[in-house]
Amino acid sequence: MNLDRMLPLLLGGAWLLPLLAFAIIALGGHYLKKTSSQHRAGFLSTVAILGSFVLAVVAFSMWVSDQGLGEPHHGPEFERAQLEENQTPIQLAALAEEGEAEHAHDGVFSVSGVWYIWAQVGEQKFEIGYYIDALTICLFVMITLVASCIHFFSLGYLQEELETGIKDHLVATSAGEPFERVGRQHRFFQYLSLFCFSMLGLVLAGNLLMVFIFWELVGICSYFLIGFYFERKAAQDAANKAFLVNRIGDLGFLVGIMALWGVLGTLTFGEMSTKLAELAPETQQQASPNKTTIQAASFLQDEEAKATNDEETADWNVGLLILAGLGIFCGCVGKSAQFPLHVWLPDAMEGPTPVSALVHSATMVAAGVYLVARCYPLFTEEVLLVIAYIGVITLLMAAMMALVAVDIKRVLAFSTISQLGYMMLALGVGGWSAGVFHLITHAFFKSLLFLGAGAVIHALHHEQLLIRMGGLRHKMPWTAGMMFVGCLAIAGAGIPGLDWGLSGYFSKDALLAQAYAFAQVNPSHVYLYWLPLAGKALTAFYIFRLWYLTFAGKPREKKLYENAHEAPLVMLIPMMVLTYFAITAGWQIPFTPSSVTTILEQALPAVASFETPWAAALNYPAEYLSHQYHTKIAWTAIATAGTGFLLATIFYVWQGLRPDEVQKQFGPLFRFLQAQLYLNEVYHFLFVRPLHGIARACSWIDRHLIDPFVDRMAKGTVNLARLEDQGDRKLIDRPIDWMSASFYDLAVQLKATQTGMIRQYLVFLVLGTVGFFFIVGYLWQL
Amino acid sequence: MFTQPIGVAHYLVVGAILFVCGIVCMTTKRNTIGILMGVELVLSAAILNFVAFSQPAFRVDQEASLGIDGHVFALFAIVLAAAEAAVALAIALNYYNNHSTIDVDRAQDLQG
Repeated sequence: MNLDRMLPLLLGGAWLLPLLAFAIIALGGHYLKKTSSQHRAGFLSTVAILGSFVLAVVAFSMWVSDQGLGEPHHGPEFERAQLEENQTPIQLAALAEEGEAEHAHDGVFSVSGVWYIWAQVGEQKFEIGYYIDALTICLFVMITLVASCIHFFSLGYLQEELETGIKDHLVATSAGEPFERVGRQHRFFQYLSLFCFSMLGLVLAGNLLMVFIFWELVGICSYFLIGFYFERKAAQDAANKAFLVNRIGDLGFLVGIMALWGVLGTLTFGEMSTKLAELAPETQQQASPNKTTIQAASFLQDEEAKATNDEETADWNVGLLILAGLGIFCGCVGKSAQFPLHVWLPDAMEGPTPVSALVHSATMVAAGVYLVARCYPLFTEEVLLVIAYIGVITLLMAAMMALVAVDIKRVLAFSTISQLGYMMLALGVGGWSAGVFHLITHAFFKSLLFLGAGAVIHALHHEQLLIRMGGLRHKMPWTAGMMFVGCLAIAGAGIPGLDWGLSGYFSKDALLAQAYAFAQVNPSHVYLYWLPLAGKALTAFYIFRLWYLTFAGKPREKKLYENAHEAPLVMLIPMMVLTYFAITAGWQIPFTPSSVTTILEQALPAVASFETPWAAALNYPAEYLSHQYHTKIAWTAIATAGTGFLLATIFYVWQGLRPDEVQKQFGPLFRFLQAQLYLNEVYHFLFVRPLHGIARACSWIDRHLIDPFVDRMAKGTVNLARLEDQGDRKLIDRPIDWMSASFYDLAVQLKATQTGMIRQYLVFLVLGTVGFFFIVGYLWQL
Repeated sequence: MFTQPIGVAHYLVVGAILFVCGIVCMTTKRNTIGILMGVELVLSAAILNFVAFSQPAFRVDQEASLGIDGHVFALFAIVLAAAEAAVALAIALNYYNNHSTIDVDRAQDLQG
């Protein structure tokens, strides 16, 4: 088994299969639609993504059989102690060798290469390549698995899109009738396939430029899918909003890429660490400026000035690196809906629910987290601190907004933003594997929750308001049960004493432990631990509020309740698969000491050890150090989450506190949260209105300055054309007409010579010949 | 001219007379057959000129040739004349079938 050869082949295949499905549906969708079974497009997409899943699993198993599952990391002291106790010398030697081998490629084994050189400018190459390490493989399996489940779910959820006449009650025609349109399931699956292709390409990409390309591709897929019901004004606006807000982030991303290129000269992931290593000593050399550096300045020839110039270059490089880090993170802020660019995600819920599950919770919005994880060595301490604080702000703010949201999907959207904030926080405080681990577990339980919400919405015929639901657990026991598991998972339920829990328990625990460890060594940043802990209570509260309002209590709308029904099997089975993973994703793999975390840790990058001039002198505790806090954190966390759960139960089951009274008590706060901190209004005032003003001014200039000019030009041209037409008629047409007329007259006259009398012709002939000879003879004599 | 022995000039004079006779015959006759006769006379005049000019006194390459080029041309012309006469007679026959006459002045279909 040759990993270098097989992995690109398998993952490349898994990557391109959805593209094939997309191409077939896009080019042949018309025919697929015409045939009796419109389901074909859906089946095609589903089969393609299932194929990708199989390939990804094969790649994963090859990886595991070659690289192993990874060992739990307890730090050098712990390992040494263990070794001294019960290892034989042979094993010791083997372990030492392993350590050396790991060292040889910087601890991270990866397969990278180039498929195609897109463009080459001098030494610089723009490549279509791949970079595969444990992170790539894990994300491939996660994405294809979740995507397969959601494809199956969509087959059921979008059943009605197969009909030829769908009444969209949210769109009214001018006659007041509901708008009627043709179903377009094939288009949905077309975009879904394109999305899968783009998302897998983003994860597989070997350099930042390629990441950027797929970054934009997932953006456009998101735009298409949010605007799937494009007849609805809200969907149009939401799609535009998502697209435009993401552009802001992407601008930063592009600036970051350019800055990175300026400082490193490469965008390829595989080369970054070596280039950084070249750069690192240089930046640390500032104390001894006599040493010559690699990037000696070429601007100044003066040798004496060189020393100071080196220092400037170093400063300049660090500045650029910080700019690059902030720029890349700016892209992540847009894509992962972090504060202050989170405003698009709640609105994005206008799309069909499977889209919200796949694109806007499990995969695309996690792309920002992925990118931060992928570019981790690039981030200096300042940038990491910014990431951590943005994460904290986001998670707390979104969790509070989720408390007051009344739309079932919006609660989940805010919850997604909040959980993404957790991931960013974890990455920001040095918890690389905790953040990525939470990314994976979150993908499972959040897509489960979304699919559950989808099943509810489907059952209630597109009713999304929580206040109109209730008591549904009698009608939809399976959905209720599975969603309860999802709620437990996101709340991080577990039993600390036994170290047993759902997936969210493990990932949140790792995350909080890292934050705690960070706060321990950096006392000034202690809020990075306390605020997420508070967020945990909020998480438990809002998620159980959602569950209670939907499934518990008495039905609030009798009619809706009566018509509700359990979801069909094609929707339930994917939910069961996701439920299984939402429970077990954090567990140890049987008979091994490993888990998903240890597999991921095979790709653990080294934190950049840059002594930056502006560094706040932070200490980043290594991740294994945080293990000592696990038990303590687990108890604290479970207590907090339990408080949230208890509060939700008091509010919505025991009715000990009445929600509306509390609302009245905290009126201003409630309204403030419900209005999403008035951020939309602020943005409207700060950006949209000025933009409209500029647009109006442009329109005025267009109408009053440019249009008259163009109109004049057009009129002048018309007049000129008229003049030319006259010239044509009088100067050119007339002589030609006269010529043709005179030729005609001549011909009519000459006609008389054609008498038709043969003997006359003969006479003319003879006379002509004789005359000719006379003339020739006469001329001859001259 | 009359005191000189017979030479090319005499032949040419005969040829010219024949030619003029033929032309006059063609222009004066209204009968198609008559016109054909005139044509034959004109042809004969031409053939006579061929033969007359083939006499050795006019040649510069006497050793290299047989000196019968004119005669060969004459023979060709006679054969062609016979063929032409056949075609012309066929025309005349068809003309008669269509117009019940062979008077060429009645044939004015080509009048412009």
